[in-house]
Amino acid sequence: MRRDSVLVLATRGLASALGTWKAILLFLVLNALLAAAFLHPLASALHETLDKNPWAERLAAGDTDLHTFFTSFARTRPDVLGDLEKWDEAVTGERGERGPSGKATPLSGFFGTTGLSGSAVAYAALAAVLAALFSGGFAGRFGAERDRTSLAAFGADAARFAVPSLLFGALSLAGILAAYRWVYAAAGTLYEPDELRYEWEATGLVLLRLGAFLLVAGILRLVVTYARAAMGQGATNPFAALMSGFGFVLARPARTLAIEIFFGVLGILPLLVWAFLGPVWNGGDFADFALILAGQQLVVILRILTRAGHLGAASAYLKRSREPVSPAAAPPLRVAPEPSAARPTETPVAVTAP
Amino acid sequence: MIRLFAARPAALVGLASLFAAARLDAGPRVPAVASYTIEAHVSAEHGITGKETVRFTNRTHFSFDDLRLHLYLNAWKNDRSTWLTEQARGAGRRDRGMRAKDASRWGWSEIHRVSLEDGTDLTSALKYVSPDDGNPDDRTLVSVALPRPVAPGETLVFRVDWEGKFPRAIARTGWKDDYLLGAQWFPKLGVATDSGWNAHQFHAATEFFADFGDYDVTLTLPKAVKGRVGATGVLKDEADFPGDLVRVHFAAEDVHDFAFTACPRFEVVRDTFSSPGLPNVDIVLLLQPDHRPVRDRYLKAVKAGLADYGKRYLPYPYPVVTVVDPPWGSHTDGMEYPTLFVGGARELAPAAAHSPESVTVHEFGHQVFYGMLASNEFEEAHLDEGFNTYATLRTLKSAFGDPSLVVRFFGLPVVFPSVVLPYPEAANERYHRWAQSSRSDATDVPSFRQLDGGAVRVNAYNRTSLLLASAERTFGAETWAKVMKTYATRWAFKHPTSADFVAVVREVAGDAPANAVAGIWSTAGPVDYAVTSASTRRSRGPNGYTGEGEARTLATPKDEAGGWESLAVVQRLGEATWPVEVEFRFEGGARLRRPWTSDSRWIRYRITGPKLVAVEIDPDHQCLLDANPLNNGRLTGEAPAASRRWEARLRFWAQNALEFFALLGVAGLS
Repeated sequence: MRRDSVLVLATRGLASALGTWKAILLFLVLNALLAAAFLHPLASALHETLDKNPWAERLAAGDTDLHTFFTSFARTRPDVLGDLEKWDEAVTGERGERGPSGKATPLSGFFGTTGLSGSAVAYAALAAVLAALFSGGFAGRFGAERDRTSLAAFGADAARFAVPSLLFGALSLAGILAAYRWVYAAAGTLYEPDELRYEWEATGLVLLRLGAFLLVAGILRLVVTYARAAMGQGATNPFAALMSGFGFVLARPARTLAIEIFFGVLGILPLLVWAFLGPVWNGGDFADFALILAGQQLVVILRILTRAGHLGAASAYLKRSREPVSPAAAPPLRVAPEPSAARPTETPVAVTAP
Repeated sequence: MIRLFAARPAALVGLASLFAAARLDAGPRVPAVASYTIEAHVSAEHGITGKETVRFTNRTHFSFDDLRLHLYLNAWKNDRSTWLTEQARGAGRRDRGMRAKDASRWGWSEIHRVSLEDGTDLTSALKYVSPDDGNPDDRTLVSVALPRPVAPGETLVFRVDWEGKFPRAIARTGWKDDYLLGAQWFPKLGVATDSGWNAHQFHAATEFFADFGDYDVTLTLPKAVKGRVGATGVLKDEADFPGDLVRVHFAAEDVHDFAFTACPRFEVVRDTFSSPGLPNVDIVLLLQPDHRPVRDRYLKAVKAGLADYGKRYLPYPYPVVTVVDPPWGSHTDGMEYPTLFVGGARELAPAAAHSPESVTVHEFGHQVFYGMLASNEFEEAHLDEGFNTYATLRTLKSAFGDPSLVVRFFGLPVVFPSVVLPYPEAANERYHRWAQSSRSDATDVPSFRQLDGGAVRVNAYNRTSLLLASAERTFGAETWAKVMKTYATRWAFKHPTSADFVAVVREVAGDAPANAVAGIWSTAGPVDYAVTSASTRRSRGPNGYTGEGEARTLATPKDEAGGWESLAVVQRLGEATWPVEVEFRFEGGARLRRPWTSDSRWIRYRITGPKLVAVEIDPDHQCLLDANPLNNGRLTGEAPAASRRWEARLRFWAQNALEFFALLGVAGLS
């Protein structure tokens, strides 16, 4: 098997990520805390609504009344969930009702709403900042190939690469939003789905737009990923690292994309397995709760691991390609005389008093 | 022609309905008020040129000195029409915007000549009228002054020559590609009543009202649609016509409208419904080829409707029902006309979504409430839509069970089988949102005068549907079935009003149900009952002095063995009332129920006996109109298991949601 085959690189990436297990655990803890804070208003409202309510007995028994409960809850507590319409539209790709003009700004509606839907934007941004800072640490440790378990070294790298990491994160965010705006959403305004003769034409076009958006987003992610890897291997100038990543991906589009798809699929698998097979806590038995919580955190950690693994694989790929990660520099000016022999000798100097 | 319980061999039905030159089967005739003989040509450019002879018999006590004719296609003549003005304000369906420079978007209808049977020309007496809103630019209603009034019992025959153009389909009328739904396409009389014409302009949020009569319609259309034309009534003849056209002749008796459809892509599927005790009915399904996978589901749904509505309300009396499967994006889905209705299907249609079943049963159901009872949809839309929504959900539940949640992700449906959407609650969720936020109009406000499309839809569909379902649960399924059956049979073909229905309820079920129904229709306020407090504690002896004179002693409170004192307060937070029960649940499983039928705003209960565990209003979930079912009960203790359960589930998904941003690259971890 080739040393730079997808499987070998993926394995090396995952092994590298496993080496940074302390940092991954730390990221998991922060992710869990962030999720708890994000969900706190909803959790409080649920307790407030349910804990002294006969509905609690029905919901604890099963999901039969779930729809009635949650629609009633969303309706009677609009302050908690806020307006989920725009999120629903973004996730499903189904256009909501439009005004007579038939058009609406694709990114409008995400900001400024109240409740969970409004705070989701802020929490997503916070998660992005956190992840960007961590990526500096991961890139540094993968580049150094030593002290991977050391949180101190990880922290030092995260701090050292904080500014370029945040810059890359911002570029990635802006690029993907722009891709959504101009590749997916704007393309949707070029035609009227109802004017097409068959539904499959409309579905095909939506999927085509989605595919184009995901491809552009995937390439953006790739460039940023390899830029981070380059940064971890010593490219101190973030712009140089970015261009290095860009050039690297441009030269190897198929393999870099294959690696990304591999890790993307690997990352979603645990979630799918849990969604279909994972047990649900009954809310009463705390021994069960501990087990289920552990299972849930295992799923999340596997997902974090795969994404860190992707950076590890990118780092390994860069090293194997033996390409310089920073611009070539002029040879250094040597100021020390070279020894005349293989082994330096001492020359005794006799000093005499005048 | 009404054919009650006249079963015929299935094979003959097909022949009779396809080329029914013979008289339709026997049955009591509905006295015709407005009968039409129409000859019209529909061009490939969707223009229409026609001549109609209308036979109007005045069966009222009123003398009519003019004629009122609807020209519905003028709703889309320009953006000053009442229909488009109202739609811009949020009434009616959100169809596409009219593009000023795109002529295909607009439609119109124009009368060239009106004359009496003897040739008297009345064209100069024609003027547009706008009785509802005074809009001088609206052209959907005309008045034609008569040389002398039409007296009670008298018959007037007049002829109209007109021309028109169908728009690109909007509000279930018009064309898309090679498909055409010809609805509301000819000059049509208003309804003659004892107080004059009941004829309204075309409004965006309401539908139609017309008198019964017979229709004899001959159409010439482009030959490409030969064998693929469907219409109200039965096809009597189809033949080639000079000019590369096809000529079709349809006849319908005892109906109040006529619609037709044509599309060269239609696949014609024929079937026959037969069920003991009900008349046989031919089913003609005009199916789009890309919807072949749902063919049998369409047929099964029509048959479910024919069987259930036939038994519960009225047997379908016509020999044929035509089901139109519209093409993608036609904006004609979900609409009813006499003996013909338009369904609607998606190419990927999971069975769990109950589509096309739900729209098929619903639109078929209109054959009873719109087609045969024929109430005034301009003014009392709930008598059709609400009654039919109630009946639809009942039929769907019994024939197909409850649907599951289906979410389309980028056009691809994903079924969530564990999330059940119970009939009738889930289908009427819109009412609860409206009750929470708007409450603009009572149901008995004339539909076309209500604030917006939301108010009309909620009052017409959801509020009345939930009202009838609540009544069925509260007053008993058997009693309510009798109410509905009596109403349908007594008022078939007679244009009943809300008052007529309430009178039937009073006669069959009693004063309390009648008052409850009338009460809900007369207020915009919601029903909302709540348990606002519930507590329990051990019974205690008195604290303080007891006894008198020398027997007076200072007592300290002590728990009394075995006894509990409980307090509960229930309140009516909404303006509307509904008869409900309050249930008290005690430790050990004992239950006690007390009715709450008064209009009092609150009741405080003081209970002694076993320990109170829970208080719940409407424990059997009979009142589906309650705007907030979550405040209907209260426990005296705490049961945090459910909220913990959901908190744990949601937190996990929140973790993954936050992590998902990184997966997309937004977070920038990789």
